[in-house]
Amino acid sequence: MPLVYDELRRVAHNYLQRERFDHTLQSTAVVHEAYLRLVEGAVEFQNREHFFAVSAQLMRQILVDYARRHRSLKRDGGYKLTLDETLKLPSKGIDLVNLDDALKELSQMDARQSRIVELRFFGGLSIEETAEVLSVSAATVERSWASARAWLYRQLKRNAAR
Amino acid sequence: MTGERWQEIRNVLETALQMDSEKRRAYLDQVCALDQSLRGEVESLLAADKQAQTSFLQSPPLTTRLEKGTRLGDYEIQSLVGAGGMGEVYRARDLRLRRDVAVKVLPAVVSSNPERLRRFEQEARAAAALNHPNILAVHQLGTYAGTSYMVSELLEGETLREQIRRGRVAALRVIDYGVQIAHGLAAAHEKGIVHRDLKPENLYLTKDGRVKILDFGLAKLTQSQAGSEHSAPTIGGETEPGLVMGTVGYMSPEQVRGQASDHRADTFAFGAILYEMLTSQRAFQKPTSLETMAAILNEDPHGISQITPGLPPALQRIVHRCLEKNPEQRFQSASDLAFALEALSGSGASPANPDTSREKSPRITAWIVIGAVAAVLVAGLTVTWPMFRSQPQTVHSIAVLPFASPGQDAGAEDLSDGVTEAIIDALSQMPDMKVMARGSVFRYKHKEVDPQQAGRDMKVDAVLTGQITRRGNDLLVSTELEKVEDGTHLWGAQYNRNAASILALQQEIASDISQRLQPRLSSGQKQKISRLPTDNLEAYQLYVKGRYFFDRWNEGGRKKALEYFEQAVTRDPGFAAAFAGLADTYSLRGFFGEATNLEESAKGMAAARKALALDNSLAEAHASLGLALLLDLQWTEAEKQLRQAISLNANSSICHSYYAWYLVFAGRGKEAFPEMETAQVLDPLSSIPYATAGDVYYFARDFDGAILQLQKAIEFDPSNPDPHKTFGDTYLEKHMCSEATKEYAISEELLGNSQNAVALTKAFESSGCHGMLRKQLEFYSDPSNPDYYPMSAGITAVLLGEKDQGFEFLEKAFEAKQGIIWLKAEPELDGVRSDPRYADLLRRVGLPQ
Repeated sequence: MPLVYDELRRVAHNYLQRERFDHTLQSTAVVHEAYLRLVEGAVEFQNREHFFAVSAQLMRQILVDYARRHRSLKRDGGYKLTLDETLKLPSKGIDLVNLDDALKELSQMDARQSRIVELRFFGGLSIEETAEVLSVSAATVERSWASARAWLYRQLKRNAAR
Repeated sequence: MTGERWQEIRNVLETALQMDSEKRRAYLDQVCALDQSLRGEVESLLAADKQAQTSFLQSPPLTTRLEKGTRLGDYEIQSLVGAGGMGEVYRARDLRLRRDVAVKVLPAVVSSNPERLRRFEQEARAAAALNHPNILAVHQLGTYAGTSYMVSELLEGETLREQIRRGRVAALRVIDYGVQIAHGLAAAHEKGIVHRDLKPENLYLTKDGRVKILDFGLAKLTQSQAGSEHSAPTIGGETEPGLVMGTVGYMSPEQVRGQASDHRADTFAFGAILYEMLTSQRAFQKPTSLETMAAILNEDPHGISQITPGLPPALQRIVHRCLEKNPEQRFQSASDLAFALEALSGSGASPANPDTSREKSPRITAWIVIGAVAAVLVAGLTVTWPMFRSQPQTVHSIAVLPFASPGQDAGAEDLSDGVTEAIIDALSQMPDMKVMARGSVFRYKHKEVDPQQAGRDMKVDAVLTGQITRRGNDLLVSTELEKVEDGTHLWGAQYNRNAASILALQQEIASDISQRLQPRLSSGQKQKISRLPTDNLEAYQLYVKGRYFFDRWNEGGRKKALEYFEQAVTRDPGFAAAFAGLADTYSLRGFFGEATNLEESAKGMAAARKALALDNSLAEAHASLGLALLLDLQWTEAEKQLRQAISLNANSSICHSYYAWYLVFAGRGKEAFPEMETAQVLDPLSSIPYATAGDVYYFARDFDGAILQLQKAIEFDPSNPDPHKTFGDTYLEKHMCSEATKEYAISEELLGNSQNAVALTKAFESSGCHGMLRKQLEFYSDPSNPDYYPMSAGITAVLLGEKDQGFEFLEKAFEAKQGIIWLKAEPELDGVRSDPRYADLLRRVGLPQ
């Protein structure tokens, strides 16, 4: 068991350091948390694709959690979370909590499209990588991504207006 | 919206999105003719798509990734090279100065706060002004679309973190890095700049061995907002319990307390980094950052020697002194620190930056004393730490000269031969490194030789010399590596060990050298280098003697080699390399007709298989089996083994020689040339590769080429009969029978067959070439004559026009599997190539027409 665990740790660590996160994250805190959740959640990755899928999901959870807490803190008048500050800034005006809600709605309509967004946006995967993870063609991903983006944009705008 | 409805909308939307507006309208008119609400949905989504800027959701929430081709002032982004807590780093092209640079885009959190930004710029400018070889050179600061960026020199290599992740760092390199880091820090501190967030992630190791300190001036910017000016770097306010934050482990106690900190905080971090390099464990690491901080305040890290034994005590003391809780008890300046480390490195000279003048403070004097004491202590205990320079030294070929053993101590001489051999073998495992074969370097044994000259003779980049002194059970080994080109001292070390541990020491020396020359070897490669061939010293020394005699490449040498190899495998029945030596000796004895061939071949094959069974990764074992199979006419298998041998150890001259033989006998002479040339490069001063080359040229029918090679072979070893024999054959082909006879006679003399020599000369004098050949045929075909060799008899008979007799002997050679491998390549058999008996024989030998 410890051996398997070590191997997993090593793999996760490598992924985190070299593969994906290195290129997409600014906050070491988030990386650390994702890493810890990945290794401590004792997920057994079947392969690279599986790893990306799980990590994109995790990133979504973590970021949305942060955003949600940040919201409530703001409401409560507390405003000293520098971590949240780090997170808030580069998300370019997208309210991650709203995005998460919209994504849930999208997954009701088309689960695969929702996953595509999760992988592309939260996981930072390219069209090709996403296609690999989902075992579909890159053209399919590209088309689905385009329509999902349009729908999400409209949905976020509508929700914001409400 | 239901899933079904969405699928309908989606289909139309996705198709429409791929069209230009005109086509789109026509398309929508058509598909939505009966469903206006569908049209409404699609139109609204198309509008949303238009509004959503191209950036919407395109980059992950935590990045500000720049696209290739983006211009930031004079800089054009090429590609992302990395990212860390302090932003992303891109490779970019400086369009004005036409050079590649690194552009670091600072996180928005830094850019968005004007006060922080001002401070960052101030400090970064100050750091940039340092212009020190161990500090990242900052060229420019700028802003782009509200984001700040910093342009610096582009580094190639990896962070210290990546190196540590692979395991402990050798003490020598820790000292080297330490000296460089300390110099960089000293230069910064002198200007009043403190790093405050030194950690392995902030130290960059360039490919040419230089350490660069990164992110000066950034540390202050990441302080918690609520904290004071001097509080914890990189900790972002409140964190989840149990969440281990990046750099807590390198903070000094005063930083943890939020007290004022100065340059001595960097000293603490420096100590923690050295500690981690040496032990591959953090000095302070607990499950949560709070506990880690508590440990920094209250606990002493485990003694380094408990984790990594065998390090110089002075080095351990330096590290622990850096980690003192009270800043007053640490080194008071980074230059003191650099000085103390340099004393350990033995050179006293600053490796990285000889131009930096050290601060002349009174403390220096004290440290000269302490440094000297440290050096003495180290020397007395085990090892004096080698001198080294950190300038890049490219060494692609190396010769290990025989280690000297002063005095008349025969035992010490055996030891030194063993050490030489072992280091050659171990270094041969390094990739992209040509290591001269023992045959060439042992020519320098017992000779007063200038290493540089020897290096030039062998055309190598570097030469290793060494000396072994034995006092009772103590062994003192000192060794030095120098560059041939200019005599630069690359590396040197002294090892003081118990004589019983010599075998381990040999591998240790080889490992240290490889570490110095190729610091980035994989652990698998390192393992190959440090692997012991046997743990039985006696067996090893017998083996080395066996190799030495084997290299003489004559009957007497092989006879002695056989004795030594046999004794070696008796002492250690698990000694694969000795079995390989035994196999080669048997095989060649059979081949050269020194013993009954079939019997010797069988023994050779068995020994080779045994060697391989013992160590499947041993190149020599595969080569031995390849040779045995070749002589047994198993062509396909033989080639497989020989190629495997070369792939396992491209540095083995003998493997290349065997393969050259194989190729030329198989009628693939052209392919044999590169193999032969490689063998010569690896063993440039020994007769074997030239004798092999003589064969290759002869069988390829380049007789003038053969003569040149054979002359060299004879020059290196005038006592070897074999090249003279080939010389004779070559002259014969050139119709120079008088010269041929002379060479044959010399060969007979050297074989100890004086009577034959005289008889051949007389026969030539009385009845010319024909008479001489008749005489030869007589010897070759007479089982009682020492020259008896059916293959040669067959060839000579063919030359004399006696085809029937010739084939009779060729058949005998085939039955005995002796020399018949020449059948296809031998020029002297040209007279019978169209004979059906020749074709039949060739087929049975296993070669195509």
